[in-house]
Amino acid sequence: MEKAVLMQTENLNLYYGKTPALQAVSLSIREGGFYGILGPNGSGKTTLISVMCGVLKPSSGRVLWNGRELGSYNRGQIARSFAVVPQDYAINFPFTVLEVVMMGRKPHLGRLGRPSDEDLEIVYTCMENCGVLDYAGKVITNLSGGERQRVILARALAQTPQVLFLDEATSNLDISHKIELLKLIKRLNAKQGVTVIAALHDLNFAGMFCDYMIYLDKGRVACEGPTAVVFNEEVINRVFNVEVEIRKHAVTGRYNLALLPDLR
Amino acid sequence: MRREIILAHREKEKQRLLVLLLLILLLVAGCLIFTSLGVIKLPPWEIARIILTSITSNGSTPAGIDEIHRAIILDIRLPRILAAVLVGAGLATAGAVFQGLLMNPLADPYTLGISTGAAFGATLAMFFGIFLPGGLGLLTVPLLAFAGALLALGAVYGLAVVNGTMAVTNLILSGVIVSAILSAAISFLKSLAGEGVGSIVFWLMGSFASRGWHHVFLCLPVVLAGLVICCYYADDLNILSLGSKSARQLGVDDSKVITILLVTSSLVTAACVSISGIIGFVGLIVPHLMRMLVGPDHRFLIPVSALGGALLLVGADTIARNLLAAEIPVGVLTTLLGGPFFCYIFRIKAKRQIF
Repeated sequence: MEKAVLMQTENLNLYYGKTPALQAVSLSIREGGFYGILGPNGSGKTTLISVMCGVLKPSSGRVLWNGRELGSYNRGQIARSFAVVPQDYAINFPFTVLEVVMMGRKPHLGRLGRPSDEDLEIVYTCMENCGVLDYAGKVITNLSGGERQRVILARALAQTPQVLFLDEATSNLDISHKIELLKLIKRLNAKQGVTVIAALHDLNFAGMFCDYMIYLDKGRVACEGPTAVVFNEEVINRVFNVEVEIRKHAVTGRYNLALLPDLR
Repeated sequence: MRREIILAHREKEKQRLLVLLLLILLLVAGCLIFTSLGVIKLPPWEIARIILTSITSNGSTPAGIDEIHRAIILDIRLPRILAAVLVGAGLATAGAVFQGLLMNPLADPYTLGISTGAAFGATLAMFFGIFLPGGLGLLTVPLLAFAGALLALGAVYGLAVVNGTMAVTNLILSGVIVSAILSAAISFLKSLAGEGVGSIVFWLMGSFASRGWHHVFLCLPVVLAGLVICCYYADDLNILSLGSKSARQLGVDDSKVITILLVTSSLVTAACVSISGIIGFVGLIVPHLMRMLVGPDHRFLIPVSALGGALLLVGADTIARNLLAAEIPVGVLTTLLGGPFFCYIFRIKAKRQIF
């Protein structure tokens, strides 16, 4: 059964000065999907996410959300429905973990609004889910990279988003934290129907978690489709210019990738 | 556990409110005590009585109050005390906002060259002996200083904006450049000033000597309005410390908020500098001290810094006018006394973080 279309991009183009970053990108995102955006460095993954979540305006083309143009919603509506986890944050001031996660409730509060007990409950649950409860009172500037990234994820989840964007959010994490984080996101995706759009570098993780893949190359959509169809040797060789072999794993039933570099 | 975290958060909110209230009380009490000190000493309650009766009765001296005492308090000491309160509050507020906006704990109200602009304006007024007509004569130096600050501000922003966008690093760099040029111009004027160099040098060091009500009324509206605006956008400033992009994603109109806060805190700085001269240290250190006390949440940090700055500067000015027979420039005093104190605090904090 096909889910309803949640977001669409129509012929997006974006230029940084004269350099094209996105060219003729047309996509549709269905509700509850786990989408992977894959592509080499500089292929436009971050730019695409920034445009889709309303942070950057495209030079031409439109982003539709529930059939309406994204620009026609006000900032608050967008902030209550979309959340972005960036690759890394530099926070220079000694906010506590609790304060940072609480910032995720900002779009739900008035300007001078004080967080209610319900807001605090949500913040608590998000911190618990992300495993950062133990250092709720710790200062963010004293945390390790992995700890900080989980705090930032908790902050994004505290927005209680309908769509969660991950902008290479797991790139700086070690393998176990990476799996924990992606498992957590997958659970949210499966249980609460949060739509996930994730720019990922690690193709094995993409094969494991994504239902649907969008390959970008030099700002254009090189290929898109369900993981079972487009996660294959030919596409990856074309987009990334590397030799690989992809097999369905006997136990997990997921797709695994082995690199076949020419080592001679 | 769940309950505990919520309770702990509520407790922290309460504590910060308590600090705020405590500082307000301290400032009011401090002002009364500081006003009572001087060559003629009067008890603080006498000061309170003089002030209260002067509000209720208009013009005439009520029974039981010495006319000369009343004049000393109302015409000489009180405006000076209030000027120090305003400048302290303004500089500390602007410092907290600049540090938050530039995401740099080393920033202060003078980073963008506003003070140098003001100094240049004041130097011009003194060097050429300009005297504004139309009853503004007494305000010539402050008004020219304010104009100089605005010109410097315009030049810095003009330099920093490239293709309609403004990067923070550009802003700091433009501030340094404009400031350097104006400093050289001031030095040039000083070298030509001959005998008159004394008044220029003294102004540059910062002082509240012989500041009257006209100075207070020049500064008051700008500082008060600035404080209200900065508090109104304080929560946005918190979110901005996650970076512009994340702030935008959280629904903050980042470029609007940055522009409003930059212009506001620059105007506050300009108003302060134009009546007091250049008083260092308050704008840099008070936000730091207060951040140690109440944390980095700007909703508390800004008002608490304003109160702390006011208290520090009015205290310093009281020492400056009473310690020696001759007046010590308060800008020198704040740094001489505050600097070592801050070194001490800094060492304690640095040690705690390491071990």
